[in-house]
Amino acid sequence: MRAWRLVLRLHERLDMDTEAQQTILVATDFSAGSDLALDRAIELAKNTGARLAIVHAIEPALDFPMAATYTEVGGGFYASVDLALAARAAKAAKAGVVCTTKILEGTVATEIAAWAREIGAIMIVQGTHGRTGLAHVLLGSVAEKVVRQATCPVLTVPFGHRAA
Amino acid sequence: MKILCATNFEPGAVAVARTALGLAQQTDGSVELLHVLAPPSPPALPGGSEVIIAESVALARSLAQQKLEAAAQLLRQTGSVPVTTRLDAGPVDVCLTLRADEIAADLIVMGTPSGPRLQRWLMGSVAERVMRLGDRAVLLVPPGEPSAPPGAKILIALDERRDCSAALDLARRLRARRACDIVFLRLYWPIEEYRRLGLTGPRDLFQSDPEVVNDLETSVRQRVGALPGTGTVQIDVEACWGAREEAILAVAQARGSDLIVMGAESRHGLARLTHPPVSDRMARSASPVPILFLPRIPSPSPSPAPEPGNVTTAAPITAVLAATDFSEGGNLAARAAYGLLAGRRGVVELCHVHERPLAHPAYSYDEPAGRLADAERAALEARLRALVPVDADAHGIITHVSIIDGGRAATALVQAAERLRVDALVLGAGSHGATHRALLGSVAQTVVRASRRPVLLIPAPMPDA
Repeated sequence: MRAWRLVLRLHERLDMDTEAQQTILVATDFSAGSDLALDRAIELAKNTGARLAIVHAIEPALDFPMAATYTEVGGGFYASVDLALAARAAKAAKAGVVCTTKILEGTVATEIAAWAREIGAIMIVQGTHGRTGLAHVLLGSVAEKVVRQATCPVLTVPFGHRAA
Repeated sequence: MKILCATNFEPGAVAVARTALGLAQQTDGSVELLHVLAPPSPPALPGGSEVIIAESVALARSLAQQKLEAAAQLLRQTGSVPVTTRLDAGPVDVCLTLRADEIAADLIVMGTPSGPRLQRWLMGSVAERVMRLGDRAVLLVPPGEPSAPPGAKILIALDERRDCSAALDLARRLRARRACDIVFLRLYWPIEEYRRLGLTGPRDLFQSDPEVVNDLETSVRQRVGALPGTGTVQIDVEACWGAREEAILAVAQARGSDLIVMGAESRHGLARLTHPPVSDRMARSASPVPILFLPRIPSPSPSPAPEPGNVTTAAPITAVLAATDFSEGGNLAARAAYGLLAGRRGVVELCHVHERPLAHPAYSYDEPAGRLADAERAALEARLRALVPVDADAHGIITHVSIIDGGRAATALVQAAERLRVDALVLGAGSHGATHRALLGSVAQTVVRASRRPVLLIPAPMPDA
């Protein structure tokens, strides 16, 4: 009854007796949409006193020329991802939220859901691109896959929809 | 403010130049008068035509230079604004864009296109192309005697897709300098709004609908926020079936506005042909009111650049729509909604959708068949109330229960979220099997796709774990 417990933990906050510090996981692909999700996560973390875990998942390409890997393509790639994560962590820290970052490797949705399980996150926050029609059918939605695999509540923050 | 003013020496160009001068005077800026010579078309002459072309080009250049100097001299006499001149040759739109970039102009001022309607529509306008090529603000000034630089009574046309921060920024700066009455105009397409809000029952398709007006007015008020300074601020929401450009012009004239402000929208490829942007159509119209087109403020780039100093977080979630189908997972989601609001006061809109087919379209016909009886509704409401945690009130969380009668659950929930203007939706992620999900999609999936508000999905409880 893991899911039960997680939701109840969310609910228990009504009684304001938080034993250990809880973690909210934010998945980012560094797009404007996921920055919006980060803003939302910072707001939630500030309100609940939770810490943030900002993660970026890298899906290894199957065909790299000359059998190179990301590591060989240059530590530069990892460094740039790290830098981007650090910039977002700095933003969270500025807002007064304790924050960690992590680079995951593997199938994006699976890795995010698995990491959330591992750290016992109370919630996953992620942006959605708002793709519709053919683009949605062809490209799919990482967010939806995360929802299917996650065992904790998932908050999707839409981006690119019209304003009223 | 650095102003690049295009002139073609036609009678209307005087008004354009004077407006540019007035604006520069107000903002302690400068004006550059630019005239662009069209490239000469080779005449059908026998040998030696190159010499004739070269001579005629030189002649045209010197004539244009003289006229340009005379026009600049006229402007210099009237004020203390530095006025420079520039003569270019080539396609007008390209020259204007390049020069504006070169001198980092804040504004390009040019004349409203004149000429017969058919010609304007077939040939398009220079302004339209300048907007597409560059990202500068463009002001179109109609011919005639300008009494004062525009800006005392402005009409800001908003639409649903673009952010209006550029227009708001301009309004703030204008009001800091002088009294300025502002009308925010939001035109809407009735069918779209009826669908968005899920309004049912017979509706007037031509008059503005009070529910839509109320909702859009609130949205506009939220987007606009506080506008300090002197002058009135009004919000005008109107239904519009036909050409938006005509409706905007009609409102501007009816309200006596001296400037229309709108966003310059660029669409490319097929989208431009199938859905020409309103700003393009405005640029082609022979508007008697000056129109200012503002470029989109560049959105934050996806590059890993560190964030700027000031930290802006999202507004706190204080109103949540929690939906349940009374299944175990659904009820869990309803409880989680209270968890989301823990520690802050807020409102939980607890709702259940009683699915039944609605008349099509729902905003035109009323179909009472299959409607919930009062007793059934009361029973469902009581079941919803039973889900409210006993200590919710003590934590300052107010609960409203509602039963949505009719429609498909996913659509009805998204529409209810729009109507109730909640900050987030909370629902169960559903427990259907993979095949069911793949074929039909779950309610949660559809809501995530359709909602433009955050959605919190609570996973279904796993009995085996």
